[in-house]
Amino acid sequence: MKKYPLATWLLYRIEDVWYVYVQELKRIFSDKGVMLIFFVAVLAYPILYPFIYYHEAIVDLPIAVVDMNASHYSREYIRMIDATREVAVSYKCTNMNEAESLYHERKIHGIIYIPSDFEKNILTAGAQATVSVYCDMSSFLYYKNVLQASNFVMLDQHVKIQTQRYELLGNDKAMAQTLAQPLRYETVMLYNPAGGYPSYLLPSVLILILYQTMFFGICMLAGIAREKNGELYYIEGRKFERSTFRLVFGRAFAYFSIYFGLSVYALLLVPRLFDLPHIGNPLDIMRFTVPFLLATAFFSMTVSVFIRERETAMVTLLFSSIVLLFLSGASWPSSNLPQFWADFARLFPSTYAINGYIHINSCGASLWETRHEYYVLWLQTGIYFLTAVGFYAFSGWYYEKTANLEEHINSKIDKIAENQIVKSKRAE
Amino acid sequence: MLKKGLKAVFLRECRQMMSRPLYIFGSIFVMAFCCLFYLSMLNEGVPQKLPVGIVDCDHTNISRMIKREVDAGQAVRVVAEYANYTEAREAMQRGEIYAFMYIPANLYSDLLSFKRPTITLYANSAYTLGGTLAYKQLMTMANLASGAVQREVMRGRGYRDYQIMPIIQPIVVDTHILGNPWVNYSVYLSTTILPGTLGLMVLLLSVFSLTHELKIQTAKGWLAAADNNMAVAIIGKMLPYTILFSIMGWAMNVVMFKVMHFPMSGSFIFLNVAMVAYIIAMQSVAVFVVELLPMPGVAISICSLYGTLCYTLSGFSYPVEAMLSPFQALTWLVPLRHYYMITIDQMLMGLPVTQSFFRFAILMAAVLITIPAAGRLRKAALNPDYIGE
Repeated sequence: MKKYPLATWLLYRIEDVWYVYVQELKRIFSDKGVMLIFFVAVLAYPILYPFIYYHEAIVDLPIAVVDMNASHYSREYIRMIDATREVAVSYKCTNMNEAESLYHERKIHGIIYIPSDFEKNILTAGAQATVSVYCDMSSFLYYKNVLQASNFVMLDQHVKIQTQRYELLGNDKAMAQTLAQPLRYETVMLYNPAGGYPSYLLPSVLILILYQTMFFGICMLAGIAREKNGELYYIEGRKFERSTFRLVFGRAFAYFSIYFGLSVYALLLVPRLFDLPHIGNPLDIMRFTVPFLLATAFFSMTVSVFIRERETAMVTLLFSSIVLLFLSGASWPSSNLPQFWADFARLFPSTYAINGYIHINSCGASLWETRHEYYVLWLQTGIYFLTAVGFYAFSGWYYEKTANLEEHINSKIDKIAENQIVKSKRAE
Repeated sequence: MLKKGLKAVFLRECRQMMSRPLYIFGSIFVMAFCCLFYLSMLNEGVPQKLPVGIVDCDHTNISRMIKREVDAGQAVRVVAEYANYTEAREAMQRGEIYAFMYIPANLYSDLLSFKRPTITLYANSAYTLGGTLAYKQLMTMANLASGAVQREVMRGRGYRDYQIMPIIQPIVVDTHILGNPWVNYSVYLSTTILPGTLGLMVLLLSVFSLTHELKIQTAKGWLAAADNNMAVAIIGKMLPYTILFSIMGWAMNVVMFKVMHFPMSGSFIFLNVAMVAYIIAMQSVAVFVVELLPMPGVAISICSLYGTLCYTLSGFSYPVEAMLSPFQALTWLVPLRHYYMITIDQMLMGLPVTQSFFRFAILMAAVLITIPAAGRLRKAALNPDYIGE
């Protein structure tokens, strides 16, 4: 065997990787199904979701009031409820039955019931007035709106009535006000001040779109290779023997280069187009994207070794999208995941990518402040690179073995057939 | 004659189902995994002991008492005390805490001299559920602290507690959460996500089994088994999945409503009947897509894109009325939307079954969309070259 100087050796390797890279790109761009996932899905979904989740919050959710008191105080209370951003009093009912049937017809999503002794109890210094609130729990946002509106009005009325009552006890106005609120508080909602649903959900969805499309695209490409040639190693034009590293590198590089461009679109452009949170440093986001995409590519390539047909991954694993969303903690708090699932979540690059992206993009953290996620993604990149190479090598070895076996069996069968032909000729 | 064809196709499909692990994996394993995953993950019902922080610039009895009181609640736990705002903010950006309370310096002395000091509450609403719940709890604590101060002042002036309470809390709001009084998130999420996943698997496995015939060119044998009757061929092919998934859907409902005792104020039986209608509706969508696009790769990709959107368009997390109007119209084309509405009718509202008939009828009517283009599938089945791939 001829020995090359190191530089030449390296140059040959790089040339091989480049060749694999170009061939993989050709494979991607020549397949309708893969193109649909890599480009149509990644370009369309980030636009589609913000359009579906168009309004940040529900404004003026219709509710009904049942005012059994019909006094100055009850009317004021109702006016204040109506004035909140969260709900609107759309129906005034004379009794609970009426309100209940409106609720069953889904015309309203909450009921406020003011009993007939409301005014009397407010005016009596030593009494407590009661208001009953009924919330529709068919959606979290209904419940949240009704409860928030009712709480705001209640707290506001508290201060007012308390001041009155302290005055009645002989305090002057300034003292009564102080007594009613000896300790004040103010609230600051950081990073998503309106508490908007899309502002909270869509950053995670954007990461998931990139993650899942890349995963299914890679599995599909593996399935296509298998269907065409029976093995993963096949490269148009030449056969790569014992070149797993070059193959894995070249292919991952192809996916990475496509998705790096798509990431700029999905992670930087889309949040700006649709006024989603985007207070992070774009450069930090792109630097964070590098280990995310590499880890995802190697993870997907590892799994794709088990895929034999182009459709199987999509059919069997598409359900994982929402599972991954929950595992990331973006929806259900990660501090409250059962330990087993919290550990399970660590396997997937999406968990760290979603949290890191929310921290940088929505909360304005720097890459240094997100270093935990960033380093874990690099760690995953390393681990999944090794598993990808290992599994690829194994699948190559396995293919050779079974192919040899098949050849062996075929030759045996041929021999038997030949013998039979010879025998039958002899018989003649 | 028809019956014989149906039986032949049915048995043929059952054999195919058993012939490879994909079908069993995609149905039984996936659904078992998802039931285990969602029901165990959301088992807590309401997230408790959410991590929050405190910035105590006062360091007095009172500020420490407030901290202890916050920690004592069920909803949150104080995981760390930070020296200043910046530290706490950074911890929040790192996702370590969902909210923190800022207690200013001189809180105690300001309270004593009636200067009305202000506590500030910060919450991370980029994580909506954790942020909102932690924020709600801190706000309650701030209100209670204010009430406690009032009580101490009044006690000092010689009033009794029964005289003080009406002043501190002149209006009592009693909240009733209709149908789900514990605000159990599992009741709210699992009852839609699990049927959603079931529907997705029905859709994808149905499309796969239909297009696989075209792909490996066995479609002629399929039609022959049905005596070239397209209706028999499709029904016979879909029936094993209808049965398999109905059994799983029922098992899922039994686990949720009977074993885990989710609330059920209406008809449990009707919900299970609706489950079958929902499965048939999803299969109709699958058949319709394959009829229009008898190409394995494309049909499955299209169904994947549609199937993912179903969760969103069912409107269980983000209500339909908040969507843009074209999407509001699209929700009518999503079987999960109708099944979700029936679930709400029966589970939360306890409406009479007749009230849910309309949604049920829509689910059943989905079968009709498979009729017009059935001829295209026959053509594709008989001419393998017809496949565009």
